[in-house]
Amino acid sequence: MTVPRSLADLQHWMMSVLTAPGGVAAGLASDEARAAIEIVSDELNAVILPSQRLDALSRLQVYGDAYFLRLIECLGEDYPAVKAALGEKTFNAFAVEYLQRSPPRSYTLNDLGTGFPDFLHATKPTDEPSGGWADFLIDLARLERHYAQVFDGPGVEGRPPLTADDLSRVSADEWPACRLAPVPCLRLDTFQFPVHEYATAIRRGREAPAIPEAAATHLAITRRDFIVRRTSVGASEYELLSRIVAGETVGEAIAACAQQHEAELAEYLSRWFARWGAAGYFERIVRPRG
Amino acid sequence: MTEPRLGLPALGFGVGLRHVHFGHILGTWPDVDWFEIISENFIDSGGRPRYVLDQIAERYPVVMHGVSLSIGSLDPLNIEYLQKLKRLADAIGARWISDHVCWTGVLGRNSHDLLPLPYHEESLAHVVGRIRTVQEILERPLVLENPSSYVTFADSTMSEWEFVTRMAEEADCGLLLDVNNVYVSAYNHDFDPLEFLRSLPHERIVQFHLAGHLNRGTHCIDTHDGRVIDTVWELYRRAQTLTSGVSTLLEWDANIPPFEDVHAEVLKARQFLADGAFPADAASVGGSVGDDDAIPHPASHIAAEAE
Repeated sequence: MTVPRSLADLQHWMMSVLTAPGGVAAGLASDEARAAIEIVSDELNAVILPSQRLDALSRLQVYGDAYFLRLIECLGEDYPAVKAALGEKTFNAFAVEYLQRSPPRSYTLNDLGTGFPDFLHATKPTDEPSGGWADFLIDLARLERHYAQVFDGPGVEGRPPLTADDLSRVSADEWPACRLAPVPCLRLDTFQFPVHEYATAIRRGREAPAIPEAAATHLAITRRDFIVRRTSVGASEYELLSRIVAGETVGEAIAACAQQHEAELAEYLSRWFARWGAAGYFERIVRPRG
Repeated sequence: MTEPRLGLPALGFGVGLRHVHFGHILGTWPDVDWFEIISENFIDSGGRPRYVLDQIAERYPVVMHGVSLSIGSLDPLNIEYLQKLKRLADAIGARWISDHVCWTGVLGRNSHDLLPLPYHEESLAHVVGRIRTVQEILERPLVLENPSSYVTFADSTMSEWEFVTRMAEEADCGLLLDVNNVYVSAYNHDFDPLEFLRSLPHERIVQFHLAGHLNRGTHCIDTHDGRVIDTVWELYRRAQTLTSGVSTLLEWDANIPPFEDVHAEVLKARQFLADGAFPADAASVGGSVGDDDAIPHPASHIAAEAE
């Protein structure tokens, strides 16, 4: 036993004990805890006193129980669809492992789930086929991470949006050299499954639907009136939108896209621009100088 | 001589702002004296939480209450976090900024819990020094709350009230007296809650917290999920008498009822102070029905709203 203990040793010890997944008794025996304060369970009274009604180990367990319960609850709020797909018991087991690998380091719980999609990807069973159940869960987690970031990230509420009318007023001669500045809340991503439909069903309080068949899905995710919106777009529209969002001029983007999708561009181009205007994907037109 | 409440205003009877009530508040502008926010839910917000807060701050006094300052941790202070607190406080005209006498993590990790300190000279000197630094950065007095706690350290050489009193006087900071926490900790640590109340530097108490808790028989848990019990009401009356009256805030963080119910609970404080009669529905023992997973709720989290 180390006496007297420094405040640093006490904090290192307590953090190790409380965050041990097997409970505080297992935490006491961990190398990390014993490096700070070398005691075993029956010596615990040298650090934590019993109360009149409760022994020292049970008192410490109050914090240990709360650590995982609170963080698992919070992670479940950020990933309700993943939780529904896995079922509560399995989700909680994944959550505990995630919290062990990536213990929270931020002052805000908003960051708690940042690494969860990558964790699911990293722990995907090696014998799991591509486009199977595990990939569906990873896709779903990626979508729900987008939702969390778009919901409380920067947006354009309160600023006049660039409308379909604004876009229609740009002359045909001007368009090729123009760029379109996307709103800061716009995210584009591609998934192996139509995860947006599954996530919406869960958020509307429906029973967990059956896992959908794999189908390449391109989503534009943004926020209007403080609510996260998602729209499924076709492959050619997605490619053009991605190029413009990446900063290409409208002319460059159309030319590149036309190499593979010329017929679709000819038929749908004006309709796509009208739809992007209505959805508020862009906040301003950037015309070339001079 | 220290001014009562460090010269800060007595705001009346307020409610902790929780996201489930956003729509009700913006739709009805209820007749509430003031609101307290969880600072971490708003300091980075670029979405609806911040929009709602801005609307509320235009109409009501707002106080910022944090859960991640970690004033007692051996880790360095997070200067970026402190600067964000200050920016938000300036932007919304926060009446004061509070947090807890605790540590939340170490070695860069955050438990998102309010972990207790041992009460001795080393921890006191550490906390006092950090409060001074925080107050310089925030350019205003820091107000610190007594947390509910569940363990007693063998290393402690002084009582919690002696620690808090010396801390407040040496660092020249304010106190947020959580009356429910006094009851919970007194039950858990076998001390007399009245001795705690009587021993504090009353002129430094800026605010009271009231909340419900769960009594498990062997210990109490600060669940913030129910009504205030009669013993806590009585402690609250004593505390108001000792301080000549300061702002009162009700916290309700789990099983949150409609806004009117939460508001009605804090308004019982006004009635109780006027007539001394316990609220008719106040229980004698704190409890949550059928909740085996009841946990302390120091932090709240706002989940995304998506179509």
